[in-house]
Amino acid sequence: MKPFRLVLWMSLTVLLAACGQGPQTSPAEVTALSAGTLPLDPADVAWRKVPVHPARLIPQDLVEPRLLRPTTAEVRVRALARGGEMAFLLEWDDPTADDLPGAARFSDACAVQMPVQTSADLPAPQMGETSRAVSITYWRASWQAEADGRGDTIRDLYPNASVDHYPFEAAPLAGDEAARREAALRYAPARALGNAMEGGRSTPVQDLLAEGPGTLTPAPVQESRGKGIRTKTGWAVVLVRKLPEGPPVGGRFQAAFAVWQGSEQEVGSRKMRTGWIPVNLEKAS
Amino acid sequence: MNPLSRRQFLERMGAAGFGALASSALGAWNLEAPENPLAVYPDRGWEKVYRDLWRVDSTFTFLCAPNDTHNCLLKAHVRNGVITRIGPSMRYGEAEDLYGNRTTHRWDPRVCQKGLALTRRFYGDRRISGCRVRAGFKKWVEDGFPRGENGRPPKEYFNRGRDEWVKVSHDKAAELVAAALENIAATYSGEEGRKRLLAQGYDEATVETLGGAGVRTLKFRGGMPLLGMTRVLGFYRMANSMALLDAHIRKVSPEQASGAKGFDNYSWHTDLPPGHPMVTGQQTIEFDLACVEHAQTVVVWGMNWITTKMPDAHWLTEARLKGTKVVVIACEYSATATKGDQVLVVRPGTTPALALGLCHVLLRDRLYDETYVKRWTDLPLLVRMDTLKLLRAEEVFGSAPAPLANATRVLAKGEKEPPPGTHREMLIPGEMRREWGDAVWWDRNAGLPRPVTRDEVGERSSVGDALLEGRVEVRLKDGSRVTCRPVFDLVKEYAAHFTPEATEALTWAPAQAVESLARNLAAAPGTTLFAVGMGPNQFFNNDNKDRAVFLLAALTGNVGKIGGNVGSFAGNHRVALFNGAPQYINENPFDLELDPAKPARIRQYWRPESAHYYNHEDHPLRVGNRLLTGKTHMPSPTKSLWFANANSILGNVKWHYNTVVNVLPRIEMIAVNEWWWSTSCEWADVVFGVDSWAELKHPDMTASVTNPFLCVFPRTPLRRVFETLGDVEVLALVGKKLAERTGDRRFADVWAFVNQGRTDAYLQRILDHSSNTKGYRFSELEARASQGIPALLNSRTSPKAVGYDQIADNRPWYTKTGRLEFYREEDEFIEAGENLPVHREPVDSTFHEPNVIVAPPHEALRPAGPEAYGVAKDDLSCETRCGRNVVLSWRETKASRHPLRAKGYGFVFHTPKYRHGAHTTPIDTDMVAVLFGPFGDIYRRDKRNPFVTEGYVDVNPADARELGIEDGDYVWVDGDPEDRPFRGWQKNEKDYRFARLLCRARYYPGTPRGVTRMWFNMYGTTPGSQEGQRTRPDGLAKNPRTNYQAMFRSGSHQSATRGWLKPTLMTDSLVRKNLFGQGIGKGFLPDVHCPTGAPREAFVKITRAEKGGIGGEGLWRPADLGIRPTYESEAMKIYLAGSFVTRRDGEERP
Amino acid sequence: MSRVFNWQIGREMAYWYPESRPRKQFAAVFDINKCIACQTCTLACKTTWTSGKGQEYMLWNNVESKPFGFFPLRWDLKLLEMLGAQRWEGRVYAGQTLFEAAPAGERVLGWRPQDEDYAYPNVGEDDCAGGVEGGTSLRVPHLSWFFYLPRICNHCTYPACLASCPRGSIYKRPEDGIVLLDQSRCRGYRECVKACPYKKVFFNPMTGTSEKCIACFPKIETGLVPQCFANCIGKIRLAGFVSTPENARPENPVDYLVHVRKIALPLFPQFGLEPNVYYIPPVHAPKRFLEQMFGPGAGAAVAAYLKAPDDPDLAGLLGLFGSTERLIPRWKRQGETVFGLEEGGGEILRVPLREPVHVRMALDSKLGVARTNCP
Repeated sequence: MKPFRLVLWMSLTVLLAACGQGPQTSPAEVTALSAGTLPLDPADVAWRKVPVHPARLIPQDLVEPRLLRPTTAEVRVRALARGGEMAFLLEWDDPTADDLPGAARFSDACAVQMPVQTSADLPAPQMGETSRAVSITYWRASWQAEADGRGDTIRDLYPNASVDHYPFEAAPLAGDEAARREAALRYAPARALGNAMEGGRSTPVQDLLAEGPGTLTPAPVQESRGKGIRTKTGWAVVLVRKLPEGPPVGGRFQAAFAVWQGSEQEVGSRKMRTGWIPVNLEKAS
Repeated sequence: MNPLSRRQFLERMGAAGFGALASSALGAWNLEAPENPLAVYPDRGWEKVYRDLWRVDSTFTFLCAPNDTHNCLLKAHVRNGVITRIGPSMRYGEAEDLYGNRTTHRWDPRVCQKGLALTRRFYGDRRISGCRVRAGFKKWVEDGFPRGENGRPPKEYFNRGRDEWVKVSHDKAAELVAAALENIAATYSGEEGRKRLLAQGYDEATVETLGGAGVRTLKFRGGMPLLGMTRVLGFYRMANSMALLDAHIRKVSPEQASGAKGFDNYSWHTDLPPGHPMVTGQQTIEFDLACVEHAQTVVVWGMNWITTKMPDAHWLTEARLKGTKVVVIACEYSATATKGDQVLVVRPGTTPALALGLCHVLLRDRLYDETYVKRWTDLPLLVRMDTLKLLRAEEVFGSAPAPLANATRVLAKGEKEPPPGTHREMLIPGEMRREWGDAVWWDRNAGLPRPVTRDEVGERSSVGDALLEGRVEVRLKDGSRVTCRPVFDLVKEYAAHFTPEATEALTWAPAQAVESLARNLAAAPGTTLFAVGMGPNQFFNNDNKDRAVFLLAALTGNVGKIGGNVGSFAGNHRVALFNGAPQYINENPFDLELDPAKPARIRQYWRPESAHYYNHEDHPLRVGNRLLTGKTHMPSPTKSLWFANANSILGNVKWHYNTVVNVLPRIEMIAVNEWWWSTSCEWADVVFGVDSWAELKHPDMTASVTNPFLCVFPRTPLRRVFETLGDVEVLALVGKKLAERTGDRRFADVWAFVNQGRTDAYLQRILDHSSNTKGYRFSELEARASQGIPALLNSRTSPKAVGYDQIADNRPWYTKTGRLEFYREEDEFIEAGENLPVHREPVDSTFHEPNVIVAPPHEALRPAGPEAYGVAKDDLSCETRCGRNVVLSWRETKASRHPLRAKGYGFVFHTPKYRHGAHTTPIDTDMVAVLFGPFGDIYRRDKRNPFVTEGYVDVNPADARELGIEDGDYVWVDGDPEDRPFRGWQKNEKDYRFARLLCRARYYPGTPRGVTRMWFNMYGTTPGSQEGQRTRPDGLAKNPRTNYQAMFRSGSHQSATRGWLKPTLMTDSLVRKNLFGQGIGKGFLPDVHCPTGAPREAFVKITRAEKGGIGGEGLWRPADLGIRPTYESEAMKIYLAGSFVTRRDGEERP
Repeated sequence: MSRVFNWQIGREMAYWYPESRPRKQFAAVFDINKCIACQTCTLACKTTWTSGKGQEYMLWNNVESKPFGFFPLRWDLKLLEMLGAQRWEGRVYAGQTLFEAAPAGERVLGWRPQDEDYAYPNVGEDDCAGGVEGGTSLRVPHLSWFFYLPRICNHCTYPACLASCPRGSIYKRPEDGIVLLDQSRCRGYRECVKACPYKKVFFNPMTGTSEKCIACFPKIETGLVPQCFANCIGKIRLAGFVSTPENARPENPVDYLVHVRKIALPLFPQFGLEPNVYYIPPVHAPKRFLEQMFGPGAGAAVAAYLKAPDDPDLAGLLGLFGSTERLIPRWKRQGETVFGLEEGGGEILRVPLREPVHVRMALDSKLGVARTNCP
């Protein structure tokens, strides 16, 4: 366990110890309590009184490449709402913490999906469909590790690596930070194109839009917030995001959830997911 | 509510502030998966990032010239002032000479992976910025050079290899060096100096060579001077200018002054094939590798051509496409073996025997080229059986030596040799001519002896129906009778000992193959090239090897022709390609010519010396009661060592660990010019940071012995970012400091043109005075070079082929008889039992008794055995072994055993060169290193790895299994405990800890049982690298104080080697051409006739140290995965058999 | 899945997308008999394209020793094992391609190397099959053997990477057939890494995207050969464009070697990707191993190569390799000279079959100096 993760884990255990037995469950749907503030920290006491919805996860086995063998059984969801925003706390069991990128190392991750636009008949839960976009808030453990302080060098991934030279760090560039940064980007094409899937990220979450499988695209505005911590049995992740456009239908929004276990080589469409689950916006009592 | 239309959706998004998306979405694809990316892709704008990565601001040309002979003009691509990448110039096809001859583009590209990776050396963290001085040394100088009773400095100042370093300016470093040079020279000058040296225990013979001149304890070495005619050769100019220092210290006149000593190079590297001068009278026979295009057969003999001659490897593979048969002889199934039409795998160090075995077939069945033998060799000449000397015409006919006219001039008494570049014929000192006389052959028709002069060679030969076999009684002028035998007869009798069967038993080459190869060579005389490599040359018997190989070549008419010749390929050496070099090296420092337009006046004050004595614990060879080092060779004590462009003289010195532990403490200053922190720097006192090839601000030039090009190092526009100076500027700076100390401004004026930025003036002088460059303007050559275009040397031919001049023009060779000489009549050779081209077993790398002369009883072999030297016959200690002349028949030899075999030592351990490194530039840059061998891992998942790769020993799998060693395990490799890794290791744990070789073992099916191999060369362990591995969190074997990066956890490929001295390479009598020009001399000559050592020899014990799996757990992964030899998984077995596919069709299988 | 025609296996086969051939197809010929494993190609690529962070381990171009060399470890062995023994009927492949053998839920039969499989990039260097116990004498074919296999992306006609990408972020350029991976769209799923049988797509852990050989398109676009060709000192490489068999033009050097002489063969044609790097098989290696790797034409190719000394066209063209940085669309031989020509027939360069020998006067009387080979 990485030191920074250890600290968080300890603070959480202390807190759970303090709050006695767990909250009641909300079996049918996600019950979102409205709150004065939306806590970003999964360890925040505010989550204690929020009912848990145990959402069963099923393998994504409709589009290639498919996940044929089920892994994560369920994700425990809680929600708090405030104005146009909603905070989700997702917890699931995952014996291995996978947050280190590598050639064949995949990261643990989770996501909340909501329609861009509320409507009676929902877009396909599988990433929406043409002209019926869904907006997805995605959290990745490796991004969290970076947000928690992991550096952006090869030695942060391979501690004993020995590299003699990077053209963008050569002596003649010493002192010219701008030139160095520009040169460094040239040698990281994806970053140069603003497609930072790893490294140089300020937040562990990403807002995405989709209109069906294969169409996933970063949203033009990145506004969601999130934070994940390692628990005794797996992960606890808070995702704070915008509500869909338009009024809730029947007082309810719809959300779908997905979980990826890096150790199971789960990535992209190889994931455990739910269908649409109603999110009932309740008045705080 | 109806689903939104795409338009509505986009409008809402826009309204919601998703303007960016709305606009980009008008292209409307980015929320759609591409329909069929095989056919069409919507938006390819992103491709610009790679076009941008390709773009550069500017380019320039620089010359890459390590000691690999290739000399590649490379194009550097610059962006933001950084060389981002390097490439070939692609303009070797435009090279021209003075006569309009031109090369073709088949010469392009010239480059290699090490050249491309130079960016990592130009900018890596071992780059030397400014100068470094060892703290203790600095203090010693600043304390005023305190010394003990016998002159030795106190130990506490000389904690080399472990001391701290101080960064200083070049000016300060030069001051310290100048002061030390003067102090050391003064300390060891005169009677006082003599007493001190004797008190310090130096061999009296070496002390006497000083003649009171302490400057002769100062050793200078420009490593491989051909590689930098001013930069590197400048160190000898510096040595010459030390005569000024001697005059200053001893107050002697210019006539009585002595210069310093200069170490050898080509011979020091064991690149010199020492038998070449014994047969041909000059340094080396070799040919540009492109000659292979014109041969019917090429025998690639102990040469890993495709790995060590990479830019010229295509000549070999392309010649093959045109029908040249490639025969590869190696002691393993080598990289080059894969290009062979025939491959012979043989026992290491048995080349002389193999050549003799081939000769035997030719002699036995009379398949030899009789015309060539009679015209060009000494084989028909008569040898007196009483004295074992050649029979002289004078003795028979009483006639005085004949006058010589064939491209030869005998110098009148006292006549001085003119400058070498002006020579048009061979120049022979009168007394030597008289000494030689003329030889005699026996006319079978007339039944009479006939004289033959050295003029009479080739078509001028008078040798007719000569007696080749049998003996004759010759009546001498004085009436006495003497039994004589032709050299041919003596050689034939000796070679008969090497029947194909005996040859197979001795060399492991199948008898059948020996028979057939000999016949094939004889079938087309004069059409075979023998490309002999460094392999056979790095054994103690290397002169035997040359003499036997030449015998084979001569018997098949293969010396001196474009498509039929012998070549020895190792290192780049022939400084004489610029035989006007003395204009620069030997300019008289007392009488300097400061007008660049005028030639310099020459006087050589410095003296050359073989570095092998320094390598041999700084003493000559004494065996029993005999001093076996000739007078002309005698070294002086080494008190100061300053060198450039070489790691080989210290960091990679043979017997390295003995040198640093036992020799260095007696040396008072070690100064190094380097741009990359090498093992030598680790052990130095002063390190001058100098320009890399990419930053040269003073031009330079070089040429090659394997290609026809004259290459200039052009000045480059690259900014100096590492506080460096050029090598010549460093020399000039020290000259300036000496001038200041002594008040003699000539020290500074020696470098006047350097100080004026006119270094090219020295180069122009060299061009003007060199046979093959006269007519060139340096400025023009440099201008073309900076465009990536080299020039052609105006040598007799392109491609060059040494010996062509003799054969084409019927000129004599540079020998006593003017012929290729296979018989050596000099006393040293008779005493050594090597008057004939014999086979000696290797001095260490043999399973049998080392260094024995394998021979039957033979009338002409009468060596002085150990007893004659007052040594016990069974004394096989390493030192006496060097001078041990014991004859055993092959049967006796076969029955004998290497003395260490009883102690569990059983493996020949050899250290050949490889594709991943050049001699002077070991492999310590990540991207080259990671591909060096099977253990590369840039991410170093196993923290034990000293670097991203590491040294390893290749062992035959069956041998490894017997030793309980798994593929990839760590093992200890130990040489002769008598003195390896260093003398006295038993009582010196502190140094033994870093000197003993620890490395990976690789299962290597290509090496015969009993033969192990470690590639040459990776940077070895130093106290600092080991400290790094102990203390650094990443476990790198990297010196925390210097960044020196070792590739071993302990020891190196030099842990098992030793310095060896061979008596036949230390004679005062061998006749040979001088280094420059056509003059003849005899005895010691650096890089021509002097010791070469035996760096490839070691007989070792191998024991398992650690498991190969990561962190020492279990098997090394590739073995565990079943993809390693003898670990094959079922699938791997199917794969190897090619059984994953089958074919059902009529096509037959062979 | 669609039905497409793959001439290398002599039949139609299944592919994820419908057949669509580019206007021109980038192709290469590698003469293994000339390869010296110097790794200059590897460094040329490395120093040009993959010197960044997260790319340290990547070798878009690598050279390995077969049969014991693999980068990544087991790359071809593992897939051959998964595919199982397959059969050729004459020149028609009767077995299953990787697309036809794709298991449920997958588009391609593939495997994803573990992180550690990218260590030891030159494992097996110069390790020979057979082995040497003591002294021996070998003749062609060698009983102990290994050979060098230089590898880049094959810019396949039917790329598995392209087929496998769920986002369609890998595409084939219509103008030159170069296969590119869109760095702005990739999300690092690594389906392509899993699907490419040659394992020539690499994941960059510091950008989170997969990266691959781009055939130096910025050079191709200006008429120059890629870096690993321009720097090849073994002069084993010829870059150009390959036609389909029915459109082969003998004056096109690639077509000549691939289609006319059939001496240059695809790497593992049985995988079904129609790869466009064509190898001249090593003459000293065993025929069965070569057929496993290069298909049923291997034996005939070796036989033709061994006859090169009586075949000046072949010897000449192979001698033209690597002598210019420009692409050579056309070639011809006239006597002892071989020409590289532009599409329009203009001369790019000419080289002789044999490098000439220049002999100079022993004495240059004008300059009054001797010219000698032994100065």
